[in-house]
Amino acid sequence: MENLPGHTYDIKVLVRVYVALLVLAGGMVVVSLAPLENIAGLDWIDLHVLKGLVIFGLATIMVSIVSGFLMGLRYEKSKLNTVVFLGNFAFLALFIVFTWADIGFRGLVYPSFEEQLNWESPVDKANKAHAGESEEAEEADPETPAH
Amino acid sequence: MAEVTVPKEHEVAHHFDDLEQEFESHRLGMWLFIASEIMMFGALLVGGLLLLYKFPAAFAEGRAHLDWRLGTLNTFFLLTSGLTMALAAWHAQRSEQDKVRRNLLLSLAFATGFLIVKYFEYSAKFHHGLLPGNAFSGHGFTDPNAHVFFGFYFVATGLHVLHVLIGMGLMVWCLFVSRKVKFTRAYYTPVEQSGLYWALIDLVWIFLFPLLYLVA
Repeated sequence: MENLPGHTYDIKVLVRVYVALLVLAGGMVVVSLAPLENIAGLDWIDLHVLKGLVIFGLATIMVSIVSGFLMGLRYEKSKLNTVVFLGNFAFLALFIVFTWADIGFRGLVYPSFEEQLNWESPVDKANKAHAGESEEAEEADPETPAH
Repeated sequence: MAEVTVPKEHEVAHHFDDLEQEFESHRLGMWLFIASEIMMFGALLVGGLLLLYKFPAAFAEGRAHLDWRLGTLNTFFLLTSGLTMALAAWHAQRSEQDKVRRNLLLSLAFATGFLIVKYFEYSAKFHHGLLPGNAFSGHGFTDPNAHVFFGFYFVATGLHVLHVLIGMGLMVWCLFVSRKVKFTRAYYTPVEQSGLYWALIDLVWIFLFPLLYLVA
C-alpha cells in the first residue's frame, strides 16, 4: 500500500484543542484583570512583572498547542520541521539577549535621546497645541470654560 | 449552457517519486517560509518588549486607550477560524468537497469579523489623533513617549492585518481549487498549506494580544 501523506485529522482532538485554546485565552484575560493586592506571601516580586510572566507563560502554552496539534508538528515522522520551528526560537532568544544587553545599559554610556537630538516629544507638542487652542477660545469667549 | 466542472484527481508532479514525497516537500517549504515569517514578527515583538521595558509608563498610558474586550473578541474570531480551517482539512481528507467549502466560507466569515473589529479600533485611534510619531495629536497624555506605544501598535497590528488579508486570499484560492481538484486522503495539500499559514496568523496574534492589550 502506498504511504499516505501527512496525518489523519481527528475531530475529537481538534475540538479539545479549540476548547483548551479558548480557556487559555480566557485565562490570560482573567489574570490581566485580577486586582494586584491581597496576595499574601508574594511581596518578594513585583506583581506587575508576575502578571506579565503568567500571561506570557499561558501564551507560550497556547503556541505549543497550536504548533503541535493544529500545525501537526506532533504527528511528523521526521522531526525536521520541528527543528526548523524550535531553531527559530533559539535564534530569537539570542537576539533578545544581545539587544537587551545593548538597549538596557545604553543609558549608562550615552546621554538621553532628547539631549542628543534636541528633540521635542510629539506628545508634549500636542498637549501645548491643545492648551493654546483652549486659551484662544477662552480669549474669544471668556464665558466658555477651558478644558 | 454553463459548463459543469467535475473535480479531477490530483496527479503527482513528474519531479516527485510519490504523493508522500511531494506532500513532505511542500510542507518543508511552507515551514521554511513560516520560519522566515516568525523571524520577522519575532524581531517586531522583541522590539515591542524592549519598548515596554524602556517606556513602561507610555505603554500603560497607551494601553488604557485600547479596549481589551475588542482584543478578546478578535482572539475568539482567530481561534475559531483556526478550528474551521482544521475542520476544512479534516473534511478534505474525507473527500467531502461541500463541507470543505462550507468551512472555508466560515473561516472567511470569522476573518472578516476580525477585520471589522480592527476597522472600528483603527477609526477610533485616527479620530482621537492617537497616531505614531509626529502624526500624534492626542491630548491629555502625561508621558512624553506615549506616541511610541501607538507607533508599535500600528506597525505590529498593521503587519498582522496584512497577513490576515493574504490568509483570506488563500482561503478564496482554496475555494477555487476545490472546484477543479478532488481532495482525497492522499491529496489535500492546498487546504493543509493554507491552514498552516492561518495557524501562523494565530500564533502571532497569541503574542500580540497580551503585549498590546493585557500587559501593562
